[in-house]
Amino acid sequence: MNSISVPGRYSTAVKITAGYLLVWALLLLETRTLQMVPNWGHLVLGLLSIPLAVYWWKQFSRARNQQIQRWIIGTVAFVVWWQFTLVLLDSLVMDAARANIARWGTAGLFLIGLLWVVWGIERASVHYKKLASNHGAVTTATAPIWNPLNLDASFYAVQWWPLRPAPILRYLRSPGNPNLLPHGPRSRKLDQSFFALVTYTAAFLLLALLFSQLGGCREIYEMPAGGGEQQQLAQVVKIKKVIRKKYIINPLSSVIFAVPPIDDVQLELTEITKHAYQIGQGEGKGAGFSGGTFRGKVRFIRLEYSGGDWDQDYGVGGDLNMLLEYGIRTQHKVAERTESRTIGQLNNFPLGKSPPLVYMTGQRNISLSNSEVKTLREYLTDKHGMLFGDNGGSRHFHNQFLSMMNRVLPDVKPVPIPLDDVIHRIPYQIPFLPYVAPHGGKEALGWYKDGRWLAYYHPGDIGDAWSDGHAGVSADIWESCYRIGTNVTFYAHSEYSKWLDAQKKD
Amino acid sequence: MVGRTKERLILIALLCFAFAHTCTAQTTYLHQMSLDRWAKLREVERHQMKVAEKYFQDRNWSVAADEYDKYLTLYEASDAASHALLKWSICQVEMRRQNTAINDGFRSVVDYWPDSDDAIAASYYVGKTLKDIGQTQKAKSALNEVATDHAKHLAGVLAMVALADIATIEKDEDLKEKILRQLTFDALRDKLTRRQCETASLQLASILFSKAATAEGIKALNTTYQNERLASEVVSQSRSPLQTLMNDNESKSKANALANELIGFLRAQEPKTTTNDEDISYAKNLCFLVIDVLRSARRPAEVEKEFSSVAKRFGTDDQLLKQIANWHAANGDSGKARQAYGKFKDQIAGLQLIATSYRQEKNLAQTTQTYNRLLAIDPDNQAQWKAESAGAYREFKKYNDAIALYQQLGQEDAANADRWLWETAMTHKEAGNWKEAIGFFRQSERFPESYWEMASCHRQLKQTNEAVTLYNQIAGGDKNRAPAAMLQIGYTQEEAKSSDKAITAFKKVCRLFPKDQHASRAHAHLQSKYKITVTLGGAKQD
Repeated sequence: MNSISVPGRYSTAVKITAGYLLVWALLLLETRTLQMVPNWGHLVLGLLSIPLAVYWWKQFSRARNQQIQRWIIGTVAFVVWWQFTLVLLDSLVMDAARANIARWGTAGLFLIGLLWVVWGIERASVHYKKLASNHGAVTTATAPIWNPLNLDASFYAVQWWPLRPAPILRYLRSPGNPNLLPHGPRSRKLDQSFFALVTYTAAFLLLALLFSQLGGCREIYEMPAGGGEQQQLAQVVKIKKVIRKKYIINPLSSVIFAVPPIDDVQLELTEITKHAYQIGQGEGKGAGFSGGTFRGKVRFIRLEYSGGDWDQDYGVGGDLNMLLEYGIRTQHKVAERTESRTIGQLNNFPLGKSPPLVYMTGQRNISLSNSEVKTLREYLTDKHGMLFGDNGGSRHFHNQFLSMMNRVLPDVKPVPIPLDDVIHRIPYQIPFLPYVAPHGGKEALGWYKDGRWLAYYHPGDIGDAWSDGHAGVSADIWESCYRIGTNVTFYAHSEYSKWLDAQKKD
Repeated sequence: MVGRTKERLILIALLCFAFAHTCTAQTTYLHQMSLDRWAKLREVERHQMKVAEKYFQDRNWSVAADEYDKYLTLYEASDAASHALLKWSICQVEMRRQNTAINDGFRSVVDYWPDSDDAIAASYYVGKTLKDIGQTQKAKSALNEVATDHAKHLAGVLAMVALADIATIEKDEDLKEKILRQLTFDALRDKLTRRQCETASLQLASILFSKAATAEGIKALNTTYQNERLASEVVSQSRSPLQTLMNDNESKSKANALANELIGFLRAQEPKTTTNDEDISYAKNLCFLVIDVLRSARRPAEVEKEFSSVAKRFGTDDQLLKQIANWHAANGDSGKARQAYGKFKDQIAGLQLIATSYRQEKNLAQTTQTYNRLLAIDPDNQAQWKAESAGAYREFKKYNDAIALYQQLGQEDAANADRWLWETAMTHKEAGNWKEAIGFFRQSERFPESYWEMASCHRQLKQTNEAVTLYNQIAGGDKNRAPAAMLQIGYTQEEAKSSDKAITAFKKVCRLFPKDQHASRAHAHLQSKYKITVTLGGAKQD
């Protein structure tokens, strides 16, 4: 086979480029696992790829016979710049664009890979054909050929495409017997291409799956450290007397002017929140949780699932509003953006460092595998997590959610959550359940086990009320919806913190 | 096997539902004041109580709670103060403030008036409310206490029922059986508690039969049923457990033992003499019950033998023939089943069953032929058999034949002309003859159904304006159907690719009927398809 050669004068550049790609690959791995390096580090590294790419392109842009080298440069640059764009969009908090680029980039990568596979197979075929023509008599006499790159491989005598099961089964039963193979004119090349496509697609999917599973081989969730009281926010009124200067006049004086009112005392009433800086759990300093750490933040994680639109009102202008409101209202440290995880990725969080709350919404189907059901059950019961379900817009989703919970927690039945329950009282008193549209009824449902709520289900699209525009509902409704969001988030975190404290004592 | 398990689950679910339903009805007795007590109240107390009770009856919980509160403030020392507090607590439960109800209401009744009847009711309500808010562990201990201390009281019985419910949720079979035993054998059965105890005895029997404890199962049922009814209930409650046991190789011997014991019990019930008709009928029914058990135990030879024995003892009549036919049909031998139907003394009933059998086999020719025979021998019910025949044609997609028959019926049976007109229209619709269907629907007097169907046909014909007009007429003429009709206008416009008009229609549904489920659908559709967020007003819980 002809090899692709790089002239010796480029050896230093090759070393630099190889070193760069090695660092880049390591950092890519780091983003999927440790996530210690800040985004700007990745961006700087990504920018460095531009001069390198330009250098290599210039080296090979003139000669006609160096087309392959140019394709290699293009391929590597595509992968590096694609990842660079993702990091850039990530930093700019452009979630929707990021998701699109990620999706289209994957498709592009698949396509480029496929082109390389076609090219490689073609070259290999030519190579083997040459070999065969040189030693034709010898090869026909030898044992069946198994190398799939060689067009004379024995299994290409079977018609793989269009698929016909009978000859394939016959061939599989006795692979060496040429009499069992179909006769007549047919294209071995077509079979080889089909075979290559299937193998490449399978390999690509497998690698993609492995890579996505890497996303958080080890991932931790830490709550913000601190303490505070699990008390209702009490509104108190601070009174300040403002006394104006008064003229002391003689009413019998001959000078006439307007007599000011004798009791000119103005009261300035300021409503303040009594516990504004003390919401939390435990005895630490500042608002937070005794089970938290100083690096910890309250994060808003939503679950990705198959079958439906899990990403409704996701990110900026959506659930991020709720996270920011939570931070403002409780003074807890919160993450800069909301996140999403697949149910499988919940396994990546260790015991004691897993998210206290995950959010789930949508309006279509929820389709979970048995292993996902198991993961969710473990998360809720063993890892002391909590699920916040929100009906994003249909009665169907209501039924889907209940049926999913029936699989996850078969021994717990959903019950309407009392309005005077802790979750509806602290930090905000919720006198009535607000909703945008009663898609799943007018009652919040809960799954209660071992002294706490494992899941909270809001039937009326609370996520819509959090988003920009608040679905057009009045201010008191969306304010109430933010309060519910705050209460549920706080409840989950304080219960988690209490559990961590109890474990420490044990 | 799956089907039978499903049947069993459905049966259990129905029993549980009946159990829960009777409990809801019975709880009202718990918080009703006796007439003696009412008579002891002063006039002013009665007045205040009447006001509160009125709001309570009207389910105006907030006002009722305030009125009971007022009663407590004004007449704290009154004989009905505990009752007022109990009712106040129930109002809190209805307003979904269950924790307040428990802590400030029910428990206070128990603490302040421990000897009153209200205290017993309040203790039960503590447990029930805890159960209703998911705190099953606390509920269990509270309900246990009531069940133990007041086993002969309605509250005690209801507590046991609630405990059985918790045991079902927690899949604690032992606890469930224990409670059902208490309810069946120990609880006092009076006017108020009878239904709970009876349902419990049925559930217990089913559990005991599934353990092949035949004698105990029969004993449990005997607390509720006697004589002929007992025998039929024994077979009815044991059928599903017996089939389930038969499905598993390991439990087959258990199933056989259960079947033998059941047959033994049924044989023992037979009257010694069969001289009068009543005794003969009882003895024959017992034989059929034996056959039922044998069928569940999958003993075909014995079933055949038993049929012969019944025929010998009591002669062959339609009842026996029907049993034989059912047996053959269950074994997949429709031919033999039809032979049995054919021997019916009541020829019409037999032929009707034969026609049904052919219909199930999808044999149109034989079905219509059988209906023709029915038409010949039963001239009084021509309309019925023609309608059945037309139904069969429709079932087999022979729409023209069906339509011809319906039109014939329309002329012959003028009293039901509208019905046949409707059926003709529906058949045209099923056949895809949209224009013809519209013509017949237009003649029908069924409003708004006919307009609805016409609109749907116009949509098939892509006649958007006509469909929209009809939906508008429905919306104007039937306020209950208005939200659905307006939603359909949206979908119709969407089909006609008039997105703007569709959006307007969906928005209109949201604006005019924000509390209706169709508004919820329109809201979700606008959001998912057009990315438009429309407010439904956003409401607070009612």
